[in-house]
Amino acid sequence: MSAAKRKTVLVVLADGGGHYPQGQLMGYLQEAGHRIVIARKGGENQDRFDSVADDVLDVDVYNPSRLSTDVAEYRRSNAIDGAVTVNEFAVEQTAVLCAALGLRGLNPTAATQCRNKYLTRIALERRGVDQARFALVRSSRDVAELGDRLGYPYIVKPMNYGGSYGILKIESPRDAQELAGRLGAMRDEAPAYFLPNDHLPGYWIAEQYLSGMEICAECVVDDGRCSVIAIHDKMVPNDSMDFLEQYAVTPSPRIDAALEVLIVARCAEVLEAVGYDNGVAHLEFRIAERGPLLLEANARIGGALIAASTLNSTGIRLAECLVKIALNEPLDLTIPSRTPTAFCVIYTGAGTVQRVHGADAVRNMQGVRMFEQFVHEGDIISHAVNGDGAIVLFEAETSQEVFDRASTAVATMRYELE
Amino acid sequence: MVQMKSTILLLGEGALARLDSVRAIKALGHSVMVVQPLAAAQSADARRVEHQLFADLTNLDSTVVAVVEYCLAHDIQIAAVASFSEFCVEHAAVLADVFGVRGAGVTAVRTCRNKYLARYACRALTDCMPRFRLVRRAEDVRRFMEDVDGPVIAKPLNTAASFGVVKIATLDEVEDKFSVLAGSSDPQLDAIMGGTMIKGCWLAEEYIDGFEISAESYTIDGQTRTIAIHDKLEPVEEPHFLEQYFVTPSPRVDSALEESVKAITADVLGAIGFRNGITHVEFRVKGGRPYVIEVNPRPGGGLVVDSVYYSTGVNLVEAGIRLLLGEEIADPARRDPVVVRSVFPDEGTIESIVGLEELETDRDINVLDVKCEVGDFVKTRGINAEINLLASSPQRTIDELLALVDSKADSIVFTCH
Repeated sequence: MSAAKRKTVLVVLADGGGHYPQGQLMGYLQEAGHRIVIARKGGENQDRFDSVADDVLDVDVYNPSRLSTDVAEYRRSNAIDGAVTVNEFAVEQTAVLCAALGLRGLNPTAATQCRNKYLTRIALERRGVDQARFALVRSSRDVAELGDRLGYPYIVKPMNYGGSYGILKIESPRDAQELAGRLGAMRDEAPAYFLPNDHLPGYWIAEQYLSGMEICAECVVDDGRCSVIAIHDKMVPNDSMDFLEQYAVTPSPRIDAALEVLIVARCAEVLEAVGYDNGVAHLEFRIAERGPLLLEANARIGGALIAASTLNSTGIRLAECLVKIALNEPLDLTIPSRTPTAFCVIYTGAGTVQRVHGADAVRNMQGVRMFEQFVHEGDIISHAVNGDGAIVLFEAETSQEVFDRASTAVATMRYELE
Repeated sequence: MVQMKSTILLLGEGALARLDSVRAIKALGHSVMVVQPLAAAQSADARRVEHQLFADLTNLDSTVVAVVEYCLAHDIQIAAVASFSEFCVEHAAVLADVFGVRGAGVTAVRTCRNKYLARYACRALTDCMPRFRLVRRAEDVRRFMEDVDGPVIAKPLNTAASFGVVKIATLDEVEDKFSVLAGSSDPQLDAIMGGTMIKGCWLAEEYIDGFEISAESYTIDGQTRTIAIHDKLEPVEEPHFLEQYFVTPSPRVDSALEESVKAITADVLGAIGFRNGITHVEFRVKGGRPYVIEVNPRPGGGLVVDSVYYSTGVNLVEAGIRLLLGEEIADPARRDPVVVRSVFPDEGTIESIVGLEELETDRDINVLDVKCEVGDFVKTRGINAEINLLASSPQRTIDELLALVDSKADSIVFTCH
């Protein structure tokens, strides 16, 4: 007879990334002996965790009022002690659900201010947090007129997308003329599941382009107290190749103690500005001459292998933190040492995969902690943004060494396309 | 010259249209910004305010962005955000949070707007809440009726003005009435709600056989004070749950019931987490005990705002702004009797309305509110077409005012075909 299960946690699953964080979350919930209830919309490809769930609710996870209603009804005869999500497109609904049911979680206004990139900027401006210049865009004509206001280059992106979809970099007045007309088409290149979540189809945000190294910070926020668990350095400027992110290294060989203090302080400022009270946040910054300046605030665990990398480096499982915050359980965020850890993404590009070179060589490299290949021979990749061919996690003695290993992997494994 | 302070932001119309409230708000010394639906014509009120923005009020996200953008572009400092319209209270709560000013609370307003979640939030208050259940099929209704052993009311989760509400008196009626409930639709309401009407599930609750009253209250920092209680006098029943009368103070509401209503209103709003604003909470009273049937995070519709004003001297709309600005609201100095009567044209096209001209100059009628005109097509009696009369006098009793208003109402004759 199995031991009595401790708590019941509702996991809201939605389309749109979160593959690894979902796995980490489910793994922790099972290990902790919690009862798992999954809320997901039937017909979506979200049934891979049904076998580990104690119950599955087929609900419209994209309608916050409906989700809250259905879960509230379920809770009248079943326990639910906490509700969490690791999916970008379920962040707001889960916050609304938690607030409606009196569960601990991120407050809905903070969730909205993170999901809506314009409102993030407004919140920072109101609190006087240093940031890039920005402007609201409603038409291609707006784009053409922004050069004087923002300076070249500048970035234009949809208000509440994710995964680097629909982003334009405008380098010159000529670019503004030529590329502005692509705004709508760029948006259409996003996966179909983006559309029902796009409540601001006629809006974009334009931001001054920031030069400098790009980093991201994984933050655990408990009653408004922010702890920065790990800082990943993306190492290589990712403003080419459709803004795809290829590397992440933690701790970074380029971040000294003084810079780390600035990053940690800026994280706290940003999260306070948007009213972030409870949960895990993934903040992205450029390190400009005047300090870390926010690119995006995401009210969830970072994507790709950020959670795995953080765990390997610090011993802290972000998904466990998320659950413990939801259940109001004590957190132990002690980090005795940091193992230099890096991951890299091997991109395919767009086309039909003829051959994959170097996969075995990379899999067998020294220090590989995880290797996952998503794209194989014969697969058809419709757009480069969709082309995460493989992902590899390394560890090493030093940060430079671990980055070198990741670089070698990227140079070794490649996809031959037709 | 009055030094203009920061701006009061108002979304939608609703009760804002009552009592020349825009003038009262402007008198507070702030500039005023009004956000109206894209298709709205510029109203006389709007022309008197400093800023007017037309936005897609059916899309909360885009409204928020458009308002923030406008305020940035015009260097507007927001002092308060309010809405007195059912369909904009959520926008106002979100914007209050975004601008960092005192508001109702986003979750509280969303909870009120979803009738099921409002009951869920108050589920511990079993003495004053009818039993309830979420229903998706006729069979769910049947089981619920067996559990409560009596008739039930079933309604959509987030509409307004009794739209789609059905009473199911016996088990034999379940199939037919559920079909009516599930099939109820209104393109106009759908358009106003921008596709946010929750479909596929409904609220069923125990029918409380009693008279209907409402509590008009204001809440400041979570502390609620009820300043008027209206009695609807006549049974509010099918087919359209029309409210033909309301009066205050009611001879049927004695001091014990009044204290009970005040306490329950405070408890319910506390359970929902309502922080700041005006509310209109509806009850049925059975055996001297009030049961909550609706919680609205806004002033009551029709002439409720006028009625409270003529009875107590408090303009709820102005008070709603004052409390958001952190000002004290004085206790009502009086409680004069008020009677409101509504007259509804029959279904069809209104060909003539007789008797209005005399009422316009009738000194016994304090407010004449005409919401229809010759040529209007009335699809459903009581929906979007009515004439409301309000009479108040400290020298008269409720019964005297009722007789007076009835005689005036009887002078109105509609011809409809």
